[in-house]
Amino acid sequence: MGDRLMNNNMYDVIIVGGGPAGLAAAVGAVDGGAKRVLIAERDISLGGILEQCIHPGFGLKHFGEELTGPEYARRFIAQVKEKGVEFKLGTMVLEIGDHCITGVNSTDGLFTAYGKSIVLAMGCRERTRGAIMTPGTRPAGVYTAGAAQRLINRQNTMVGKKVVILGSGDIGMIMARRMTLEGAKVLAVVEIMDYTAGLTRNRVQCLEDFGIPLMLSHTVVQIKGNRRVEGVVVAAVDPATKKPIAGTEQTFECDTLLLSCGLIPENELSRECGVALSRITSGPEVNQFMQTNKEYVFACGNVVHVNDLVDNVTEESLRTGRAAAQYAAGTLPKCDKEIPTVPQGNVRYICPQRLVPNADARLFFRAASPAKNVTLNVYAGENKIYTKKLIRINPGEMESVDVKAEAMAGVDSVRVEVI
Amino acid sequence: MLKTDVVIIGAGAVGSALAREFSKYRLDVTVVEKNEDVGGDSSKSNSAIIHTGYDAAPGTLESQLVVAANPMYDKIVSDLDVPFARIGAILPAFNDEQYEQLPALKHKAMKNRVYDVEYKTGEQLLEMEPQLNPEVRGGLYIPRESIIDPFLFCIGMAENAADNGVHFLLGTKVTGIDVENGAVCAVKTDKGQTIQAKYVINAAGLYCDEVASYVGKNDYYVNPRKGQFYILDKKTSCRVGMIVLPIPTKITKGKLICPTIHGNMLVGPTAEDLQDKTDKSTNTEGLESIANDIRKMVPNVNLRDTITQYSGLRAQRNPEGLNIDMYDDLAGYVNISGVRSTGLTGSVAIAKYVVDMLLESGMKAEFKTDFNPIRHGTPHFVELSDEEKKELIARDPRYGNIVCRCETITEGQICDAIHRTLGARSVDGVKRRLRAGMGRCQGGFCGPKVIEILARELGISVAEVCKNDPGSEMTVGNLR
Amino acid sequence: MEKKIICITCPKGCVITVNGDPEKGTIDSLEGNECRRGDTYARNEFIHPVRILTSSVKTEGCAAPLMAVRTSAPIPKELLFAGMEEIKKITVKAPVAVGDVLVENFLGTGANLVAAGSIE
Repeated sequence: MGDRLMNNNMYDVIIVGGGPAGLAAAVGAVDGGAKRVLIAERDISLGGILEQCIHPGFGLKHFGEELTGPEYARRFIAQVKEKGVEFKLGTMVLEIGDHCITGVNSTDGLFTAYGKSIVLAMGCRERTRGAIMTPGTRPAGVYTAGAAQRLINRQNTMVGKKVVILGSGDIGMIMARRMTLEGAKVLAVVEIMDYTAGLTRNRVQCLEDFGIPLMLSHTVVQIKGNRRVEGVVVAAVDPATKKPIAGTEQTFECDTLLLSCGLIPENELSRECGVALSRITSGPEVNQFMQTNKEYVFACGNVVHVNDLVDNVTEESLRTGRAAAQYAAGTLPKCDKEIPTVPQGNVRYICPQRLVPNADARLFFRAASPAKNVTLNVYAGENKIYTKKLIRINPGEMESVDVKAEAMAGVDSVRVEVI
Repeated sequence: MLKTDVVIIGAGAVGSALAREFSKYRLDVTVVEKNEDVGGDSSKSNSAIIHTGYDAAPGTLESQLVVAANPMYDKIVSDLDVPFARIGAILPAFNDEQYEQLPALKHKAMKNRVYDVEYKTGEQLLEMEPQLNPEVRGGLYIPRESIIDPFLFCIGMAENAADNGVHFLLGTKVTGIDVENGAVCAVKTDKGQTIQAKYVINAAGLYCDEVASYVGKNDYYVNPRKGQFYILDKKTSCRVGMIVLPIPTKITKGKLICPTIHGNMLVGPTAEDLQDKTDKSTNTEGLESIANDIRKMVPNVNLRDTITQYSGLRAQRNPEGLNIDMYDDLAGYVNISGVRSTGLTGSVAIAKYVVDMLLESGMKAEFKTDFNPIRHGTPHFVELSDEEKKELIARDPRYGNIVCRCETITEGQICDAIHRTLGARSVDGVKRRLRAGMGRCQGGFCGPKVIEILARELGISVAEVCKNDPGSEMTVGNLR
Repeated sequence: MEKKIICITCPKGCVITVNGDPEKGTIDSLEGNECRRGDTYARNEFIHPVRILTSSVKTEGCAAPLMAVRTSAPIPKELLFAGMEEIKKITVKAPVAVGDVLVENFLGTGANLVAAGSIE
């Protein structure tokens, strides 16, 4: 303890990650009363993935105008600097300990910083070829869409000229447009499901605008080429089993295969420090303050569950930062008996998974499959506290609903149902 | 014209072991390797096991050399700084038919002089390996079966050989061997070189029949036998601590599950006979057959935790068997053929055997007094103590910049791997030396940075950075 | 004529049905939008589709090799590739602040090409 007091390494809130979640959490923490806030960011600049997302579509909800990723990031970077948040760049956090982090960078070397609360904001990573088990050879030219996006938009490096994209996630569709604008030929976007994984607007403005074929209920069954990709074989899949249908194979000659097959919250640090993770989201299980089972550890953004809109990440992270600051000050509402949230019907998951019943909460949830003309019901215990007709619901689009503290008094769970 | 004493064709495990063995003598030695990096073809995609030879065909050269090689590893891996662990193997029987084979398998081990093989009961095996199918009846325990980093093993031997004076011609394919008066005299390459040599060793593995045909000694042929593998995440829900081997059937040695030296789980291989020596593709049928077979031994194996799949080609000799041949009518030529799945293990003994053969046949070679057996590998940043980490970063700040997050590999390590003897020249070269890109994100994050570092350190354009060999360019160059 | 337009303004992706004559630039009816932005988008899309163009330009005098750029307002869709050709010719010298105008009245559209990132 003496060592701690001697050093200039004690913070109210330490945030791991300086992307959209970490930046907003820092702003929230300062607004919530934290005096000393530290962001540890592994890249050489703040902003995280936004720095490579040079396309528009950000900020409509939060700022009321359409921004690009770097513009959105700069608004928060400016706030963070103005509010005196400290940050360390090029810094990898190797370990989260008891109210502390161990990090490493080139200037400080190996260092420890102590925080009354710690916010996890590490974001997510992309599902790889290995994870989806695409058969074939292992040549150069197979990239996850995000890696290609980094190479093109930040490193000034073009990855290929003739491209097939497997998976219709947002980044994949956005890269289809980006590469087309840069002169590459995108032969097809291939999606195993019978609907696009990403947002409808991206299907329209990234694929349809440029006449890029979208092949639903298809997948890549073979990668060809020993050195560089020479082609991929695409086949239709049985909509029920998702198994390729023999005889439907067609070969696309191409030099590049981009993968946009889903994002996975990056929780190695969380797991190692004992944070309980959800099997469905792969992120920490949290309450409405985004507090994990380790009460000084909070989490926000894509490390918790993958969002489709940065504006939602911002909103969630501002709240998280405020809660982390309150925890540091000892003023965060507490309850010994948290209640679970329970997804029902066509609801795949709800975040938060737990609720402190004596405080208002916003529940985010995602559908399991696309559906039209459905009913959303929210129950506190056995009481139906909210109902709404929805014209349509898509797994690609996060939904939310608010629950008041009064409604939760004395109940044992809150259920969200789409039928 | 180039002039050397010994040409070794191929820098896989056998070629690299030969290079290191020859470097102990006052000889001029040149290794010619068709790939851009050492480490071979079969030598880099296999099960990464150092065998005991307990199940070899007794009395064969393969049995002799593999059994002799196993005890040599403790010293080699310590000298060359290669990750290695003697984790042991078990051979569990799950039904009567399998159980009844155990005595014969144990007896075979005895005949191969692998005397430390022991019987274990079903309960003992379950205690040793709780994830085994609880129906296990009993089995064998083979304590000295071990796991190794196959890349660093080959690279380590080659690097140490180079540090002791061996020349390596990489990206160079042997296209012919000149013979004069019943003796080899030179080797021709696809780069137009003629390398004068007194001795030529054919260690071309999968392609050894092709090389043998240059001197008319191709009284056999090599078929590629494909083996497909899964690598599972370090955090996979079901792990084993030892090598779990199936009881072999008449048709196949079967598929195994074991940890890798870096803590992943490895599952495989298939055995598929092919014609095409370049077909290293994976396919759904092969991978599904692995899943089915492994579940019989370890029911909870979670193949959804796979981070990558790969396949390797064993050099299946027809007729079968490890052969190391010298010829009365072709002085100075040594032909090594039939190096198959035990080749990684056998390599170090094969090398000693070949050098001894040549010395016996009259090769003049003086033992070097200044041979340095020690290779210092790139520092394993993540495994250092806090004090060592601090010291390393203070000395070279690039060790404070983590490039590969999954495996915690620093820029300092990548630069070291590029600039050391026989250093990395490609993305795969970096990956095999350091594991950057071998983790669960498979290079999604570090790949773009590794490309940038390779271009910068090698003084080449990004367009020239390859995955491995020429033609495997990672990108098409600058956007603007 | 009647046209069904999927709004790209926000993730909802409303399907907006527009009746009118795109040649004459007249709209008789418009329905299905859940907000005013959808109305604007659908009118443009029916008569003359426009998009924001984003890309990046080469830099000088800084570590980052590229800087993000955008059009300050949506430009006619058919000018996107012409816009890319112009963008490829541009090199910017550090420092540039976000929002700095790089090309006024880009391709005669009335929109400017502005810095969407910054370089120091």
